[in-house]
Amino acid sequence: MTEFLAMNGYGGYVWSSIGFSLLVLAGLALSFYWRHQRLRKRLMQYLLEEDLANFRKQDESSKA
Amino acid sequence: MNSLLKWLYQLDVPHFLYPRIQAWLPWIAGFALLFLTLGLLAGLWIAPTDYQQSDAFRIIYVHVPAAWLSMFVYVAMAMMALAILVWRSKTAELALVASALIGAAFTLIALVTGAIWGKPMWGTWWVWDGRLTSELILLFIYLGIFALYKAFADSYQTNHSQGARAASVFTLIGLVNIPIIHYSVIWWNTLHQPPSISKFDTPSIHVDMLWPLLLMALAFQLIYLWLLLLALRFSLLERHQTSGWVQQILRLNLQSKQAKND
Repeated sequence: MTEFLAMNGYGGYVWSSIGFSLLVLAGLALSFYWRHQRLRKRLMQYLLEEDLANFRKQDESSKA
Repeated sequence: MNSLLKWLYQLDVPHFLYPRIQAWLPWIAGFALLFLTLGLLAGLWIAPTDYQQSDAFRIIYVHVPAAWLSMFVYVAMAMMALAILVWRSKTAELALVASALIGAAFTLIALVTGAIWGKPMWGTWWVWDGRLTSELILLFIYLGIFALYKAFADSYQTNHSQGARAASVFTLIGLVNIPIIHYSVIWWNTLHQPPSISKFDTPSIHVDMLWPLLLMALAFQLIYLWLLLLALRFSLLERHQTSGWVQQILRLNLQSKQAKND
């Protein structure tokens, strides 16, 4: 295991390369994913508020 | 042939594309991660140690796929640019902007891992040789395309299509950089080594080192597709958030959420 991590003395170079690559790609994937989740949450929020407003309107018009 | 064309046209219809992205995404993500894991295992563990470069050569397994993708993504963007300018494809507009960011990420990875590889092997983080310089220029071009689109998109009179057309023209002009990157190591005999694989000849790399590299290249391809679809999914939702089909999908999601809560 230690030889695998040491990479014959070049461990620092190899693992920082692999690490940087995976970090950038994972970071991009996560940011895209979160961006989508946030938008979906917000849009569903709007839907609920709209429904609430409609229900309130219906209530008022049925009382009037 | 006809059904293929019809399907391509349908990709430009948002309410056709969005649910399909939703369906494909888990599969593409799964395969991307699978091949990435297998590729890293193969490259970092199975592949034999190089007699000249020892284990430092293993950086090749991220550096070369990233570099290949940095060029592939640009060529894909050039085709999207054509679709935008000739056929006014709206999906291509969204895909172009998304690809600019993803391509920039691959280019950055190629440059940084190349520098890390260069320090112990060739004694320097950087030289202004043809390959390295043109790849750096590619990074600036990617960022420039993105910035140009954003300049139109974020202005007072938001005009996404105009921004997309400007970005498309820029993309096609910058296309000349791709053959320069590729042939630079043949035209100039400077630091970066000549091609061992992408040439019209048998690869001059040992097959035991080659197959993990091809596996990683496939993994990176799938990662590009995955990232592109993730970004596209968001852009479609954002652009069409007021339309009926989006409202319908959101309602279905709300109902299933409420059903889960009950």
